[in-house]
Amino acid sequence: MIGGHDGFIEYRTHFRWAVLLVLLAFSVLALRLFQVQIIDGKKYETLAMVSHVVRNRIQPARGSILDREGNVLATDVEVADLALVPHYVRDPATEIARLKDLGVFTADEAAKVTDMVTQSKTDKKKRFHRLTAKRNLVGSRCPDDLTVMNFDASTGRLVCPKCGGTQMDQRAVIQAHLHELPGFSLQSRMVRWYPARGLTSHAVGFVNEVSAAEVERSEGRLRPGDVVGRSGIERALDDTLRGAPGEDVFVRSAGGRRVEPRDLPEPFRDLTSTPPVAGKDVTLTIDMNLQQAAATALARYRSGAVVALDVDTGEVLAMVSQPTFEAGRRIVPGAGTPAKPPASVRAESSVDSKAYAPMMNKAVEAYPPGSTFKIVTTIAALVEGMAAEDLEMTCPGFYLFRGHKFRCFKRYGHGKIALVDAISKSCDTYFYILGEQLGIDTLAHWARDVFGLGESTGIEISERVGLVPTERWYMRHRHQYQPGFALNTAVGQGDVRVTPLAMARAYAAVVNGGRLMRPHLVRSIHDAVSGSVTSVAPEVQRLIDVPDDFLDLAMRGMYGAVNTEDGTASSAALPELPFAGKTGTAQARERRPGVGADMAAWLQQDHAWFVGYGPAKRPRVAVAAFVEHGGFGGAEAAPVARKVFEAYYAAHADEFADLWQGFEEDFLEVVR
Amino acid sequence: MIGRDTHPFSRAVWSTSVALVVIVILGLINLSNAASYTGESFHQTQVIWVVLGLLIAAAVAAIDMRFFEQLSPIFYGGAVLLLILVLIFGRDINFSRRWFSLGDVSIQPSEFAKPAVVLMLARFFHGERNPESYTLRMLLPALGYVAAPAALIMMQPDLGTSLVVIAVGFSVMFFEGIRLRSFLALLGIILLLVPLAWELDIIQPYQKERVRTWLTMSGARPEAREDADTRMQPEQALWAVGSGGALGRGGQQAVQSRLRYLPEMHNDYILASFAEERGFVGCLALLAVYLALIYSMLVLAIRARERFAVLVSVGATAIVFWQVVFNVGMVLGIFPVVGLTLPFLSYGGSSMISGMIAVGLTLNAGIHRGQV
Repeated sequence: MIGGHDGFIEYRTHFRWAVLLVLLAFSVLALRLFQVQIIDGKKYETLAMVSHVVRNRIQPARGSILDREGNVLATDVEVADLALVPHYVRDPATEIARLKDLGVFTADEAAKVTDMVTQSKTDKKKRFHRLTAKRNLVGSRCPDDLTVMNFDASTGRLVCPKCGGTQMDQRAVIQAHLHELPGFSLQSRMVRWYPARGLTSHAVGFVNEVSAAEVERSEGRLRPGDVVGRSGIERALDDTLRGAPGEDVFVRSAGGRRVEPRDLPEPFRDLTSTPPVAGKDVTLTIDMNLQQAAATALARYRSGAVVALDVDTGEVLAMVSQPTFEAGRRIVPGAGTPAKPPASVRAESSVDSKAYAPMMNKAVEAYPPGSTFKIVTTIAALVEGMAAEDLEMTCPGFYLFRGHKFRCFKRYGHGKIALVDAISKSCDTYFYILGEQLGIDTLAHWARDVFGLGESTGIEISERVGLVPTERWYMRHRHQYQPGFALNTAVGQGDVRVTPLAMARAYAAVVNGGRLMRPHLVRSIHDAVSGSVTSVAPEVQRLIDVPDDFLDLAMRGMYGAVNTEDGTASSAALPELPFAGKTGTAQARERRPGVGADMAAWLQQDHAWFVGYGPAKRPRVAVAAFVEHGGFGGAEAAPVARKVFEAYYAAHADEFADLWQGFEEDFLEVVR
Repeated sequence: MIGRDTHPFSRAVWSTSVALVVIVILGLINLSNAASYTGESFHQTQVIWVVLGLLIAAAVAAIDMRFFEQLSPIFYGGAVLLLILVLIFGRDINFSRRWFSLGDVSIQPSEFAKPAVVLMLARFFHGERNPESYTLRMLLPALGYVAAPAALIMMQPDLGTSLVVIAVGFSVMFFEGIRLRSFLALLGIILLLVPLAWELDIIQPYQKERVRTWLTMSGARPEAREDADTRMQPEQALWAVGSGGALGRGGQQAVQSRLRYLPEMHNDYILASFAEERGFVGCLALLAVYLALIYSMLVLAIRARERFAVLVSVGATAIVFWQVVFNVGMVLGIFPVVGLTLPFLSYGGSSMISGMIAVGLTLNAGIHRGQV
């Protein structure tokens, strides 16, 4: 018995109580251990992981967009921001004054940053948040156009080779003085740079940051701060250009140090980082030579568009919309001489661009096509047997139809006129009669189902579909149909709406032997990761089953329009190596409330069109030139197209050597 | 039978010694693992404390108990004096004065106050002609012996050690016998004192914060990083223990310690590190060894020949017991953070030597029971 040896029996009960107490206490501890380690063990381990594991998304480099020669049209470049964490800025007044002395801050900026720091410094949470003190520091790139600048050793400043502006290298200056600036840091950031500035804006498009709503809708694919393409190729090939983000996974120690998961036991060890997959580079079909020529030719107009297509492949060689915009240009010039914009940009800025829809890509916007539509009417009438080469009509300057006078643009008429001349001279009367005979539904069938007008062309970027009305369309949308609508449609008036791109494609089909091509802006896609290049093959969307004789008649009419004395575009002719085409002058009077007198007068004018191809023999390129409210097509649009043909000829002169002599004599024999 | 066992080195002496040595060895292994996370070398210094501690334990066990009985007022008086001096000359660490600095070595007098209080109480009860059970009035001097060092330690402030001193004092009183009425009266007084201490700010703001943290700690994730400082230790300790699971991550594989989320890893929170490495099985084994140690010490106590030796041994056992319960309970989130070492496992000389003195005193009672 315990304690039985002498006089301490009195403690025996207390000993038992003590043992009981000890057992009880240890049982409680053991049970609690069981709860924490066995029952809730996984939960605590997960909590520790969630709390210590840091997952940082690594942005992939967005793919570049290049022209057909490989010149960069859009790419990511790194810019630097000056950031600060208020809590760690030890002495705001001195540090900001120092930055001002160094030429980084202006007085205004210094005051603003001082306010920002003093306000956030007292806030318990905000003082640890990183704030941007100054965006877009001048680094190695010109703040005006992001061109890489050269360092001028004699002045210690950077000189932009493009605009000639001199800048102080703010990034380098700050870097050198960071030790005096506790709390401040340099943060680099990728921005989209468009070296061609406004020249290819509509085809290339632009990017900006996603909205909160888009982030929500993307189901985790997008994060705040991501950029997405908003228009043009940037939008159409957004997924191709974006690439896939990577994830940097590491474990953060209590001191904020980075610990690699592979240095820790499971389950931490199983955490892996994934590298980002860079976006693919997209090479466009754009020929900067033609693009520049078209832009320069259009620059004198307030609004318009030019599309140039390779007639055989459907490649878009030029796509210009006037006025243009410059994307990604939010770089504010720092201290230094203000940079001068290059000549091309100066020309663009002569237009009060806001009023004339600079963001709209008018090459894929639908407008009444006017007489350029007559080629469709011609082919339709020939195939339907309502017209022939020798079909003559008399034009007194109007066509009287059911008591309505449908006027020809030539007031006193063309007199007796046959098909080819009717095209060259754009006799409306002749086509009113063809339209009456064809009827609106047959015309619509030819326009849409054969020449692809009023339907999607299949180009990568978003486009307006346009409209070729039918009787049914009128009944549905106007609740009445009159036979006179067919006459208007035959000359491209009334409710017909066609995009310059669709028109250029239809003309290309006429001159390439009847192949309606899918126009495309993308020439190839280069995957930098695998090194593979995917080329885009020409795609025939439809074969137009029209006898060659009929196509020849249309082409003879178009040849005459440019290259005969009475042709509507004779003033734009290029005698050495002729091009051909059809002018259009579409009535498009508009009234917009609240515009000035100047713009109101502009809105009263006709749309000027010219759609053609060159060379007239063995055509290579189709061009649609459109000048919104520009006036007469032959006078306004044809010269624009001519500039594009000239540029094309100049670049391909050696290929046309055999076409320069004896052109006119054998023209009718060898059209293709 | 125990009663017939008259050999000076009874089985309880052996089991106490073995349990002590096992714990000490476990402690050194564990500390060397903990040191691997921080790259420091606590375990090397700890070896010195262990050897010194064992020598002291052996010395305490060997000396005649009468020596301690006669000198207990001097030990007690010395301990109280040191507690007063430390408040004046002590080194400020983390807003408290618990330490004397002697060159490279720091001494924590409150650790030595614990055995001193035990000796003083044992002497008091030994001297009294003991009634069947004590009334409150009879206990007044004993209460004073406990209250004086407890209050001084509270002033450092060191709530944990203070609580241990009080718990140890009560344990000795209970063992000696206290009337139920008196006990309830004492309990009532203490329950009244706690809110008073809270209101009068005798309980420090940081201690209040620890209590609040403990009350809200439910295994949930800390809402904000700003909040992490106050929540970090207890919460992270719990994560560490939980991460150990059934079998633990293995030696030197404790993630919470590696990432330094346990700043007092080698000290008050040594168990968190141990639990993550060794898991539930390891922890149970550790608790079993502690249980063996405490039970053996109790057996030594009950079998001592003199009332003084019994009470000293009970008090010494209570020191180890309460310290283990409070520390493990704190790491497991049963109690708020009180800042206590785990005897023989935590790093530190004062704690080690104080614990060794306690075990030495019970061994003394066991060894000298044959000699009167």
